Amino acid sequence: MTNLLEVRGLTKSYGAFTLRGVDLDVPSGAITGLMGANGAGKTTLLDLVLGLTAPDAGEIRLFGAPASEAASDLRARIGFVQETPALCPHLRVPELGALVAPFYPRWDAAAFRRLCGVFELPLKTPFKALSQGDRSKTALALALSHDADLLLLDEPTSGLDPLARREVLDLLLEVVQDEGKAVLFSTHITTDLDRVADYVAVLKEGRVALAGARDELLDAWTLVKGGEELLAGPLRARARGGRRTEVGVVMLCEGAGLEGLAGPDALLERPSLEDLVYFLDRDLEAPCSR
Amino acid sequence: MLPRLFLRDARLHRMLLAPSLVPLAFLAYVFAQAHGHDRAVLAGTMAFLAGLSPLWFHLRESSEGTLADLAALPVSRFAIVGLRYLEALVLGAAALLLLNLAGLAVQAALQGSLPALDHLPGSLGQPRVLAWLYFGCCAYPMPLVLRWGGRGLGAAVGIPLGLLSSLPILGTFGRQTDQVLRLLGAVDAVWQRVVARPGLEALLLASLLALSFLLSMKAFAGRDL
Repeated sequence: MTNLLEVRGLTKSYGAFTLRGVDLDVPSGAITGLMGANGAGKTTLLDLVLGLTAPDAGEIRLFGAPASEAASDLRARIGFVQETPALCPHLRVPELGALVAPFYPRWDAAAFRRLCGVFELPLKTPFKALSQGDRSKTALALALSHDADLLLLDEPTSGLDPLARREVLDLLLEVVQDEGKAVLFSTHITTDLDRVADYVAVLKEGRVALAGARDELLDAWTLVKGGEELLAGPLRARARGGRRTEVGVVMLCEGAGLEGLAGPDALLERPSLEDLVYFLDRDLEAPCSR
Repeated sequence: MLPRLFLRDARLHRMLLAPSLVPLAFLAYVFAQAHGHDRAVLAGTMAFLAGLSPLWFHLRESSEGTLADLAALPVSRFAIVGLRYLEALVLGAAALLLLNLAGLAVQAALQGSLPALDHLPGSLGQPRVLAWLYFGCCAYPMPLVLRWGGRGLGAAVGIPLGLLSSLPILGTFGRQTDQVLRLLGAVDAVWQRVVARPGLEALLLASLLALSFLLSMKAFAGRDL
């Protein structure tokens, strides 16, 4: 397993927002999920990798080569979907395929037609008249039709109905059946990542707060629920975030097997990815907001 | 790579290109009448209009968000910038050809006979005039448009106009007429000296075009899409 994408110390400032020293690996044969709240820096990170914006500092390596020097043939091995696909508005779906096909040596027109059928895309409607979901599906069909080795997908399932989301996730799983391919997939629909991601990275306020294999990450944390007395107990030192509720407190604690440290009334659970994103670094002392 | 990019733009911007043929034919007729077939004027005007087209292409892609799609394709930013300069050249040449054909057609319609085709190459306008028009209409504003879009084009047009209009104001209200006239005279003297030496003029023009391309590269590379 090799890393198709490596990011080291990536920094970029836009006004008040700063992406701070981001490190990220995207290994082949796996789906890596990028999670985070709106404004956490997911789109900025993907834009930097795609070369749509220049970093202030740091290094991006694509297929082992510095991204800044990546020749066209290397970049042709990348498929991408932007958060808000802005493809040529007056062109129809087949015309969009014809527009990008010459740039990709491995373009597969039959695969594109098949995906258009799978996604039930209207073929005679201009892109600007498509629904948000159909726009995302069009961008996905384009990204998946040139046998890309690395897929960079920025919220590809937002705007899709549950059936279409399921189809997309199944397609991504098919892609990484090939050990030489990888997917980096940003979303805040964490259930999608629960279903398909092998690795996850959590971005918080422009930095990577957590990263690693999904199951190992989840096993390394415990969600503790109980009364206010937990705040004065030994678990408080292990808490990396949480919140007060009307009936007590929920804490995200580092480590597993913490039963011995919790009181008899405390409830200990393995957190979900959503719990990690939600509770990590959340101020435990903040009053309950209902 | 450039032919593929050119084909992409032809498909993408055909909505802009097709309607431009109508005013092109109309203008050809008007100028042919007004200037007694002064081909240099006709050619220059058409080159001016066609040379602006890549600027409009870029502004359109910028406003519709397709510029990011273009930059995310497996093409270098060098190729994208080169494309815009090439488009101005190709569209300018196409406009010239179309214009001359239209001029010939008008002439034929008025005189009832088709002029000899061997007159065509010599009527394409003076190359040095066209080259300066290419610089003024495409190469000069290009770095500003690539970096700042519509605001850049506004600055490219507005700043020289502002400078030019400030000179008479300075002369009239600032009682600096003599100094303004001396300045204009000096500029004219330098210009006359340059155009008197074709080699020097060509060198200056080539340097300005090269500088424009380098600035465009830097401008587009630094732009966040």
